[in-house]
This record gives sequence, structure tokens and C-alpha cells, in this order.
Amino acid sequence: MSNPALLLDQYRIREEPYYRSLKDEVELFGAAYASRMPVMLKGPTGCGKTRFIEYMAWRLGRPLITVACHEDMTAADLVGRWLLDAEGTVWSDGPLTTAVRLGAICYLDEVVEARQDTTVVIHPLTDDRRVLPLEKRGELIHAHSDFQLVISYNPGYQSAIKDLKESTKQRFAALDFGYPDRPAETEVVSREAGIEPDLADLLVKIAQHSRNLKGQGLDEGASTRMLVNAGRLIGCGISLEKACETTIVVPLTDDADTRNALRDVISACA
Amino acid sequence: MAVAQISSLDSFRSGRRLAALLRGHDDLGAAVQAARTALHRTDQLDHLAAWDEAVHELFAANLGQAVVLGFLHLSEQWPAHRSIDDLIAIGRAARDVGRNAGSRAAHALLTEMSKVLPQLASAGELSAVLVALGQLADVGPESVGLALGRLGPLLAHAGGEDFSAWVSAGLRASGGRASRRRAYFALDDPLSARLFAVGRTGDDFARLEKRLAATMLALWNRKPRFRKLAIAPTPVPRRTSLAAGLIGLPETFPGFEGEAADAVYLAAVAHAGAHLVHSTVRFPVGRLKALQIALVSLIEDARVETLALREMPGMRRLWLPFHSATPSGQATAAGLMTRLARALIDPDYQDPDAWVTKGRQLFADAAGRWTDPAISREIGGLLGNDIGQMRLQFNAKSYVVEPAYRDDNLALWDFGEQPDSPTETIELAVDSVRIERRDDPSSQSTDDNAKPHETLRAKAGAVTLLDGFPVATYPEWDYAARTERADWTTILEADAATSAQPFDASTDAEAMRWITELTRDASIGRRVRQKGQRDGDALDIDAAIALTIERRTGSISEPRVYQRDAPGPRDLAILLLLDLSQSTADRDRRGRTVLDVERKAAAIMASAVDAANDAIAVHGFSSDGRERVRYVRIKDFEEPMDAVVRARLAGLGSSHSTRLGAALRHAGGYLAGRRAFRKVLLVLTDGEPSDVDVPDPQYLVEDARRAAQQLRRRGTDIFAFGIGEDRFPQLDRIFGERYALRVPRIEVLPQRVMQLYAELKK
Repeated sequence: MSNPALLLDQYRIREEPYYRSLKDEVELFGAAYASRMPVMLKGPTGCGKTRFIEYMAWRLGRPLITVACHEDMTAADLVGRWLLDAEGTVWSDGPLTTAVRLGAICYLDEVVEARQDTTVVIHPLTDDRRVLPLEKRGELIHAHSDFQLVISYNPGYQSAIKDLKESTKQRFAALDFGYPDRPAETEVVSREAGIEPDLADLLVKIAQHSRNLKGQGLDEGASTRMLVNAGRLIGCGISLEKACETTIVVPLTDDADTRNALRDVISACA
Repeated sequence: MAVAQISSLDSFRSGRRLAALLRGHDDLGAAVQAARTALHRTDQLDHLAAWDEAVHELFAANLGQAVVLGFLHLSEQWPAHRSIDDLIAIGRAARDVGRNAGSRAAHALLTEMSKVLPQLASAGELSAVLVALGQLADVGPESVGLALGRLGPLLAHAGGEDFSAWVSAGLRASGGRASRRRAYFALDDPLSARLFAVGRTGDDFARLEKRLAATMLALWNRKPRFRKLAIAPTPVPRRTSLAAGLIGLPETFPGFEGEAADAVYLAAVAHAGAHLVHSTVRFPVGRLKALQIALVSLIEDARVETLALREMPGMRRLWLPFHSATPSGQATAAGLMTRLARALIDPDYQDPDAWVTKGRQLFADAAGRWTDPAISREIGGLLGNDIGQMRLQFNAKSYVVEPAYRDDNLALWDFGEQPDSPTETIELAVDSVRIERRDDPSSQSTDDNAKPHETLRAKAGAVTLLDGFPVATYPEWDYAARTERADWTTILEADAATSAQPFDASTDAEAMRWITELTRDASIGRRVRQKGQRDGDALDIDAAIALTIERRTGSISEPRVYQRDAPGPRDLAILLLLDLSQSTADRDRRGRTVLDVERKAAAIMASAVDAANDAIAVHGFSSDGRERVRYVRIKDFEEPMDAVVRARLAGLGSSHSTRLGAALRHAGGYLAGRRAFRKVLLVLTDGEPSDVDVPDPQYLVEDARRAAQQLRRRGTDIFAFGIGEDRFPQLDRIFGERYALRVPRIEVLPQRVMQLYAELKK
């Protein structure tokens, strides 16, 4: 894969991902990309952040390199490391470096999960220097003119203890994502799960009621993604109750009372 | 196949050995044969040798023939589907219990086990019970018989784990004294009775409250405040009541049990929510008669339910089963009203009655205006006139809203200041507004026939608290003389008294919330990846590459190329020291005492710290002169945060003064014995040090300061929380400015304490 064009090709999104725009986020992101401004996508899990960035990458015609961040991720996992072959050591670029070199959009999903010292490597990339120093290799890469950095994080996980550093936060423009309003969410669920709008509307109604329990037994209510899953099961001939039980009630909580409350909601709405 | 043959051969041999041993005990030999034959049928041949062994051991334990026969009898009856391992475990337990508590206890165990076996379906539950009995026999052999007698009744409503919890709480709560232990296991102890009653129903409201609150919030986005209504001894059944912004629910709906009870509470809460959302105005009572009030309420019920059903049609399934009126019912006013109630909500219901049909028609005609409460007033008024013309009797005193899930509808009405309003209405109103307060300790003890006992016990608790045993003496620093007075203070330690008063249940939920929040932080409960290890479960790529490079360049270094997950650092030992001086009983404007919040903070912190796998102890102190510095250990480091500790927290009282220095030194001693990376002493106090025999306020401040400094020098971190609106000018002097934290609003103390813990964990 030494050919950069081939390497980038695998990250290209070929077909238009389905995305229903909610407000002006497409326009805003387009403007941010025009000046290669780093962007942060905020919002609860399963509300469409990842789908949005895929859609934008397709729309802008840029390859998208996604990194799912986790607590054990080191800076080397992002920028690259020395490997060995028969000849000796060879340098292997990490996903961030690839994006920087070749001009892709690099999407760091759930960036708070990564340790704070790891996230610091993105700092020189996100101000007007737009450089990535590879300390181990003694190289300074100037970012490709098409490169853009996008991160996502879910404010629900946020606590006083775990948050982005102020110095990281302030480098980004932020788009706030929430669950879509009822007609829009119905449209998304109906289309993604391939079910009738009436049924999708019912699922959305259930989800909206479940979101009342946020912070009162649930960390988050049912997400759009859960509804799509429920819809797909129903599409396979599973009953509404069973589908909701499997994709909403059981995944959301282990607390018996909260589960029963969710079941009450499902039976009241249906 | 071969294995089965070998094991059967094994069992054959061991059987012969056993037979040889029992030679001369003919009746035993016969029983062994019978049991063996029965066990053969269970098809678990490979366990038979172990079973022989167990019989052998039981025989050798010399507990008498009755015990061995008891076991053989149990074996003969052993259910085929159950593993013989469980049987063997029972045999071993009988032997161990017998050794410590005598053969009668062992025999009782075997008899009880044969009775409760079906309730202990899993091996885990069985072994929980057996282990608990083993411990009891070890520590309190005199109480085994008592505990065994309670096993059956407890398992009727709870599990083996609950039995185990009950036993272990008893062992700890009775502080090693046989008399207290006996009282506990005879259920003659409030804490025991409370733990024993776990899982027992009878109060449907208490059982369902949390679920109903969640359902209410999810369905209606209204956070409900529930009140439990005691069942009144009147012939009129209790209904839900929405008075004063509270949802009053009866503690039970008589006649509804089990799933039916769940259903009626659910229906009631859904109906109450419909009112809260859709009943937006209150109707003036004016000169309306009781009948008209009842009818307007009935239409309003139907109106809010209809609106609710537009959004959530599934609620019909919730409500309809309770509408059981039929056209053949009595043509009384009340009878017709239940039929109308059904007609308005059940589209499939047929009723030929002209009045019911008219009501239905009027309601249907108003479909365009269903969102307007005024239609209830209109339609109800019209229908009321009709009933009047039909000359049907209506008895306001015996009238009760039907069906059972509907509320009494008093919240719909504005009674105003009407001196001449009809008396029936007022009676109706008064009866249903009679809300009993929950958590009212005085009302609780009135129906407790063991009351004299209760006070005696409280007194006994107070006496032990007063006395205590001298356990240590400490020096005290005289700042004026600049000298340390040796052995100047005496610490008296006493058992913490327990109280059966239920502990604030919200603390658990709050502690859990904190834990979830804390565990999201990398440091708590997570595992740490250690890199560059000599062995481990995965290759550390970076280390491996570095090593290979070094090898190739010719240098030799250690092969530390693995990484492994290790538990995060369990590095904190916290001692929470509570000020129990008299002033902690002072109430703030909202009636809370400092002791209350100390208690709550301690409970939350102890649960949270326990769950985060750190060690925490909770101790308290007060003083009455230098010879009597009282010190109670509410929770030791090794103790789990459980019902016993909560009962001790609930049993804390405030008295006397605050000789802080001596308490700090004593607490420091407990911390010094711990092995932990970081030791933290956390003091909760509401005032400055003082004592009866010390006129100079500065004296104890300087002594406490010296004690704190000495502890710090030995590596203990000390933090102090000054609780209340005082400015605590001396707190900085004693603990140092950065370590003295102030909590003017006492209710935020638990939060502050947890924040400090989060900081310490970083």
C-alpha cells in the first residue's frame, strides 16, 4: 500500500450514506471544512454523529479515517511506530499520520475515552500551525491542505472528573446534536429500519417517553439507533413487545423497577 | 463408558469399606444399603464414593446413631434430579455443626434441610445457608437451634442469601455476647426482625413505589411525590388522592393481590398522571350537590383518560379490566354511574339504558372540545339533573369512586370559603384528605406491642455508650506551659448501639449514583495496563520492537516485552471521624440536625468507598472531661457496609463535648495499623474543640493542632469539614488552611465529602 492514492481509496465513501439533516449542521460543517477548522460533534449516543460525519465526508468527497478511542490508546496508536522487517526497522504511520499526510478527514470517535496525554498530540494540528511532529522519527509533517480533524464526544459521560482539557476543547468548533424531533426521527427510523411510518412513529413515541427517565434511573433514554434496531427486528416478524424488550428495555438498564417502567411505557403507547 | 466403569468400581470398593466399618451396627448397615440403592437410581455413580466418604465421616464424628440415620434417611429421599454433591455438602455441614454445637443441632439441621430443600433450588443458595450455619455453630453454638427454627419461615419469602445475611448480621450485631445473640436469633431484637422480614410483602405500595415513580415520570414527564395512605377502618374503601400536589396511594388495594395489585397501582398512577397533565382548572364547588360533584368528576375522569388514550392507546388495556359494570347491574344512581364510566371508555360496551346512552352521546358530541375542562362541568350538570328527575337515591356517605384505580377527584374541586356548602361534600373531603404521614416514628411504635422492651433496650444502649472500656491513654499538649502532659486523656470505647429505625433509603441510591460517576473516572474500579513486564497476557509491541532493535545492535537487555492488566491501585484507607457532641443535635431552620447529615454523609461515603474497593472505617467521638473521651466504632475497615452498620448509624446520639486532640490520636492509631498507599483521616465537626474541664478555648485548639501535625508527619492526610454556618476561625489553625473545608449549607455535606474522595482518587 505504498501508493498513497490506493491507500486513501480504501477510506473513501462510495455511496451516499442516508442522513436527514436536522438544522443547519450540513451548512455549518461545510463552512468549517472550507477553512479546515477542527470540529467537535457533541451529543448523546446513537443520535447520528457518526452517520453525519460519514455523510459529510461523502459530500465533500474526502476519505474518512475513523479511530475509536479507548482508554489504553497511546500516542503511538495514533501517530505510528517503528516496526521490524528483515532489513531492519521500518516506520509505520498511524491513522492520524496517514490522514495528515494524505489529506483525509480524521475522525476521533469518543475522544474523552482516550487518556488526556494521548489527546495532546492533536494540539499542534488544531491551531494555525497544522503540523504533526513525529518525535520518534524526527520528522515534522505539514498537514495536507485537505486534512481536517473531527472529534466526537458524548456529554452524558462527562463528569467533573472526566472531561476534555480546556486547552483541547477550545481548539474546536462544536456542533450540538440531539435526538431529532418526532417527525424527523420517525422519518429516520422508518427509512433506516424499513418499516411503516406509523410503526416508526410509535417507536419514537416510546423513545421520547423513555428519555423522561434520563437521570432518574437511566443514563440516557432510548437512542435513535435503538429504535432502528427495534424496527429491524419487527421487520423480521418479531412482535413489538419482544423487539422493544430486546433492543431497548434490556440493553438500557439492569434495574428491575426501571425495566418495568419501560415496559409500562411500551404497553401504554402500543 | 470406561470412566463410568472405573467410577462404579471405585464406588463398589468404597461401599465395601463402609460396610466393613459399620459391621456390628446392623440397623445402620441396612439404612446404608437402602440409601445406596436409592442413590444408585439417580445415575450419579461417580459421586457415590464421595457419599460413602461423607457417611463415614459423619459416623466417625461420634454424633450418635440418630444423626447418621437422619442423613441416611435424607439420602434415601434424595430427589433424582439433584446433584449428590449437594447431599454430601449437607452431610459435611451436619458433621461440622455437630462438632461445635452438639448432636442435637446436627440432627435438627438434617431435619430442617429435608424440609426446605425445594426452596433452596440452586447449589449456591444451599451452600450460602450451610456456610452461615457453620459460622454460627463456630461462633455462637447456643443459637444454632434457634436459627434453624427460623430457616423455614424465612425461606418462605426470601432466599438462602438472605438467611446468610441475617445470620452474619446477627453475629456482628451481638458483639460476641451469647445473651444478645440468643435474643437476636429468637427474633427478639428489632434489627433482627427487620432483616428477617426482607422480601415479605404486605405493603404493596412500598414494594411498587420505585417502579411507579419511574413509570409516572416516563409516561407523563412529571416527577411524582407519593404519599402512602393508611387503610382507614371505614367501610368505604380508600382511593388514590391527589391532594396538595402529592399523589396519595393506599398502602394496599384490598382485594387486589400479586399481579392484580401491580395492575391496579399502575392503572391508578396512569390515571393520576392523566389528571396532572390534562385537568388544568379546578371547578368551583359553589352550590353543587354531592351527586353533581360526583358526576362532573366522572366526566372529567373520562375526559382526561380519553385525551391520554389519544396519545397512548395502550393504556386502555390498563384501565378496561377494572370496568366490570354490566347493563344488568342495579339501576341505582351509583350503579348507573359505574355503567356510564364504562360506556365512556369502552367503545365495545353496549348499554340500553337511556341515561347512559345520553351521557355517551353528549360526551361524543363534545369530541371537538375534549381539551376543554368546561365540558365536564356542562355534561355532568345535565346528567345530574336527569338523575334528579329519575328520583334515584344517591348516598354521598357511602359513595366511592369506581373503578378502584380512579382517584377521589377532590383535587378537581375548589371548595373555596363557602360557609354554607353542603355538609356531605365537606365530609367527603375531610375523609379523603386524612393523609397519614409516613416515616413517622411515633406512629410506628404505637402498634408495636413490644414497646416496654424497646425502651429498655434503648436504655441499655445508652448505658453501654456511657460506660465503655478504657482502651488507651494519650498525652495532651499544654501550649501555655509548652509541655506535653503524659497520659492525660483516657479513651473509652463502647459498642455502637444499634437502632431498628429504618435508615434513610435514599442514601443507597445516592451512593450508587456517585459510584457510577466515579467509576467513569479512569482511576476507580478500572484495570491498569502495565507495560514492559517480564510476563503477561499480551505482547507489548513497543517494548518488543525496542528489545529487538537493541539485540540487533548487539546490546543485551532484559526481555520485558509483555503487558498485562492488573487491578487498579487499591490505595486508600479512609477513617471518617464523626463529631457526636451535644451541639450536633441542634436543628437548622428546616429541622435537620448536623448529626443527621453526618450520618447520611457517612452512609453514602461508606457505601461508595466500599464499592470502589477502598478501605473505610467510620468512628465517632464525644467527650466529658479528659478521663472520659468516648469513642465508638460504627464501622471498622474490615466490616462490609450493611444493615448492621446502618443500624449503628441510626443509633448514634449526640452528647457532651468535643475533645478533638485525643480523638485524633486514637483514630490515627487505627489508621497506622492499615497498609495503604495513602491514609486519610476525615473529620466531620460542627464546632471548635471544647470540653467541660477546659476553660481556655485556645488550649484544646493548640492540642488538636499538635495532634494533627504529628499524624501528618507520620504520613496520614487529615481533612476536616466544618459543618454549619459558623465561620470556624480555629479550623484553619488546627488542620491548616488547605485542609479545613467549610460546608455552610449542611445538606450538601454528602456531596462535598464525595467530591473530596474523587479528588483523593486522582
